Amino acid sequence: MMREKRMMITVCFFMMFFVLLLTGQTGKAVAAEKVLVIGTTLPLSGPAAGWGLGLSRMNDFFAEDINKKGGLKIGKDVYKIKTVSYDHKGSPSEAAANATKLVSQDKIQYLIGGVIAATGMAILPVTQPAKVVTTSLWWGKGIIGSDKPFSFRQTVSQMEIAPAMYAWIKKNNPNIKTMAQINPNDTSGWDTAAAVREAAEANGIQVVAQEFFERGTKDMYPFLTRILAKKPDLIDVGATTPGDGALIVKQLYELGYKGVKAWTCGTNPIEIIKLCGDEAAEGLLFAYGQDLNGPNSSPETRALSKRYMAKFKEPLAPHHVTSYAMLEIFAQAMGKAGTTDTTAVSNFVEKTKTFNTSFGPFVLVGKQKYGIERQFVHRMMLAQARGGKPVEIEWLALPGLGLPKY
Amino acid sequence: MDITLLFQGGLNGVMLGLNYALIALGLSLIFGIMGIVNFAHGEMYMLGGYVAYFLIGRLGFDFISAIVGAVVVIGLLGMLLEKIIFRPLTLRPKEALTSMIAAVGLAWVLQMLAVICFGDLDRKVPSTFKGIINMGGVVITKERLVTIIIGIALVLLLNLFLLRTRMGNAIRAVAQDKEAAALQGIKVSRISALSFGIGCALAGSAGALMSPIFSVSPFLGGEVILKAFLVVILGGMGSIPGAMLGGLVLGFIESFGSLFFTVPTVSAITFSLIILILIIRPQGLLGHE
Amino acid sequence: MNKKNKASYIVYCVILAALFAVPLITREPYVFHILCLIGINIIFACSLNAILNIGELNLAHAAFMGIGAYTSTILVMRLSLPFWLAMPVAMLASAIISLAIGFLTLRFKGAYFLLFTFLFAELVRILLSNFWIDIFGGIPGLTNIPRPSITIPGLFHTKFSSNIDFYYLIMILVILTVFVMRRMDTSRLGMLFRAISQSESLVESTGISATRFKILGCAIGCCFAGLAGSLYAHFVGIITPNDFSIHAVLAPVAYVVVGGMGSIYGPILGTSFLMVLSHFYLRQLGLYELLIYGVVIVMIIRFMPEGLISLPRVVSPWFSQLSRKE
Repeated sequence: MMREKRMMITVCFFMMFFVLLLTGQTGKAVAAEKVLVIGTTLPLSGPAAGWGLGLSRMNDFFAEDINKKGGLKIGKDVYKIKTVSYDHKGSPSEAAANATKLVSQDKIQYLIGGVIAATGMAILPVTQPAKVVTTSLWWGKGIIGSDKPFSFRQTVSQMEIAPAMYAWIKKNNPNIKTMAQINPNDTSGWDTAAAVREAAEANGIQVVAQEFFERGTKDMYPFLTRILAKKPDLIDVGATTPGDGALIVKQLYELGYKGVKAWTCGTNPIEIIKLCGDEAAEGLLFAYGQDLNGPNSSPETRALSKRYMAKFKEPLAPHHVTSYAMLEIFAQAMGKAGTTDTTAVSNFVEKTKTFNTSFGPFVLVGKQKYGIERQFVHRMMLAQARGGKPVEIEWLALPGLGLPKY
Repeated sequence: MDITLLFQGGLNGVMLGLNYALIALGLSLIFGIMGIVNFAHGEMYMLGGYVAYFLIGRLGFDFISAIVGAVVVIGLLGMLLEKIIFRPLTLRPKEALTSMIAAVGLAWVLQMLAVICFGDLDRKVPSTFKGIINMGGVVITKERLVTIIIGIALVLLLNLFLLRTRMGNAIRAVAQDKEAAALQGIKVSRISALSFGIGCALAGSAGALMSPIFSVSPFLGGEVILKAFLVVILGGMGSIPGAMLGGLVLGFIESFGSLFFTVPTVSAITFSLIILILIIRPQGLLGHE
Repeated sequence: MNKKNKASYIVYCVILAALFAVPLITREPYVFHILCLIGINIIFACSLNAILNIGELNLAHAAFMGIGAYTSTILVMRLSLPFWLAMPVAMLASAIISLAIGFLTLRFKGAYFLLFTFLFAELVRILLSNFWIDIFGGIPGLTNIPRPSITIPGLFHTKFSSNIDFYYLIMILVILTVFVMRRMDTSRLGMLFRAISQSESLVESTGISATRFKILGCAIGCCFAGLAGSLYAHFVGIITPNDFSIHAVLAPVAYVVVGGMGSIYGPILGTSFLMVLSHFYLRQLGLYELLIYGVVIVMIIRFMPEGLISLPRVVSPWFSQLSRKE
């Protein structure tokens, strides 16, 4: 009796499992009105959430704005925009599963916003065959290529920033002979270290120390002591997060470092200064230094920044805004091409090459380095921490990338 | 190698080691008394930091009061969680594993609650002690010095409690031999609850203590638990002096190692050394058995 | 063969048939993607459970999955071996390394073994991340791992590029794993393992070396972890050291504990339930997903510490109360 009862329960569980599996779908029924689904999968939890949340929110803002205006006119139809965002928690396996969900269930054609290159490498095998356009901050050479015609990078990567940054640094600080670089021990850290090393050496600066610290390290004194013993003229914290970067800068200050400080791939100047304190931050150079509330930003950008701060009580960062810019570009392209079809739209974007967005001009480049033009570049404002504020100095010259003179 | 470098390395080791030791104390205590691997320990540290953030940053308390506040809040939280989640589990078989996974689930919940309530960005806790002390090239900030002093005081307080008070003696008795302690009339369940609370309070106090130096973030827990685990393994599970010694040893290995090698190499060396120590002495440096 | 066994055979056949018939009900790629991941995790969870039944918790189990994954990948991508050869070699590699570690560590009692596995797992992660980067790929890991392919000339050719094809492969391997585990469970070896988990000293006193059998049991378990790893690598297409870290192993351990330890069905139930919950129901909640997932795990463990598999036992008093009322 017990045996049979247990068998029946097993069968019931099994049935329930299948019912759960097959009915837990989110594929919605086709609505009467046309809907364009913009999807993304990002780290929404864990240490990288700072990047992921901002990008996801930009998609939502864009959808709000377009829908408020009545929708997006593409061809004969008017599309409302819906956004979907799944948390991949930094795991490539989860990212691949989420990408499959986005492609096959939510039926997205555009995936806007992505961080952490390893997840990108897991997502592309799913999105490329489905001809889904992806725009991302996946830094790394494997992301762009002629075998991946639908993969776009929405912001400059360390490979464009580092040469420009170090040309500026050498021009304005000709006495710098040696440098040290500190990066987190992850993919973006490794890639940034390689790019910075190349750029520094090309400008006659020798890298005397290079360190990769483990994610989660808070007390940086042990390795900073060693680095300072090599007496570098410049220390670059490369791809460190604002939180870790603030700790490094503060601890360098405490240990008596008086040289030049740079944060080549830093993305959130206000954050880092707030965390490490005005004195410690003094002189820190940023490549992503655009003041989104300042005169060098367009009225639309300033409005976006104010709106973000009001809603989330956190400052908007320049790299977040690139998602909004991407949506503007692709919305524009869809409208002009008269279709949402990604092949047509991609070709249109490639042909048009230069776009004006709320964030400024964006140019599509990359033929030489990647074999295909899929890297968007935009203006980068070099800024420096002075008196507790990031002070804009000048637009970073990104030569040879086709950006308009400014 | 410059002699000042070695001294700086030593000083770094003290700070690092004390940090590790304070984090691991609570974990060791909980493991020694209840046999529970508290994977939510890191989150207690994190929440202690946030308590300090609120008390110092928003309400203007002073440093010591903030630490006391963290001890009280996190200690009470620990006792509450012990009562509603962990105690019922200890009455069932395989409680080591079930309570471990319950703690894992709890850790995820606490981490996400922190993100929802406090946002995902790091937050700065205002420092009370500004200024740097430079002794001929060897540097320590006033803040770190005070932290070390308070940290040592906390450990001494803990030892005083365990050695001199009735409650403390009862805890040590239960840690040594549960049955014998019960035979002496000690209410083991009450002691377990108290120990869990104290263990969490220790983590919370460590978090509060370190918060002005290192900022607070909801994601601190993950790394903290790994380091705490390491120290407890090295020092011996359930041993308070073991946690202290293990923390300091680990701190010094990392600190001196970093003077000569890059971080990944130091990590590899550290782990290999600890494995070696364990093969020779599996109960850890000061563990029982 | 009496009626009881016949009934259970029929149930098994029905379940098997249902599993193979899923592609007839739906062709959704996402469903099969998740089913494949569930299958891989079931193999992992069942092997973890097998080791648990010997009385040990192996926190390094994910590291052995990683060893299997990296071995299989390197053999296929560097040495151009076919997947069908690489997979068994990967399983063997995990088993052999487990034997080596076992000799070192299984001398120590329960909790110390746990801590040792922790150290081992972290050391493996550090080594894979930072050393021999040309072979292991470092932190970026190894990418573009190809799916397996079969060519039976004249008859049949597939590159397993569709999730549905891979699902069949995984399904067969899951069934094989469950079958082997079940056989081991009910065999004399299984009895010995259970005896060891209850009282090692008693076993030793009968003249059997408990340690040797523990090492054997762990090696068998790790062998299947290697299988799970190999399948994972060729399914997802990219492996990084962090995929096999301590933090990564906690999720499958949760599957086993929530499902129910001891029997083979617990891990299957726990894995299926939690993964379906997470991917199909909670994923759209964004920020709240991990929160609710954690709450679910804590609730289940708190109120059903023996796992979901004990649901009948928990619920039957209510049923008998109801029937008594009538």
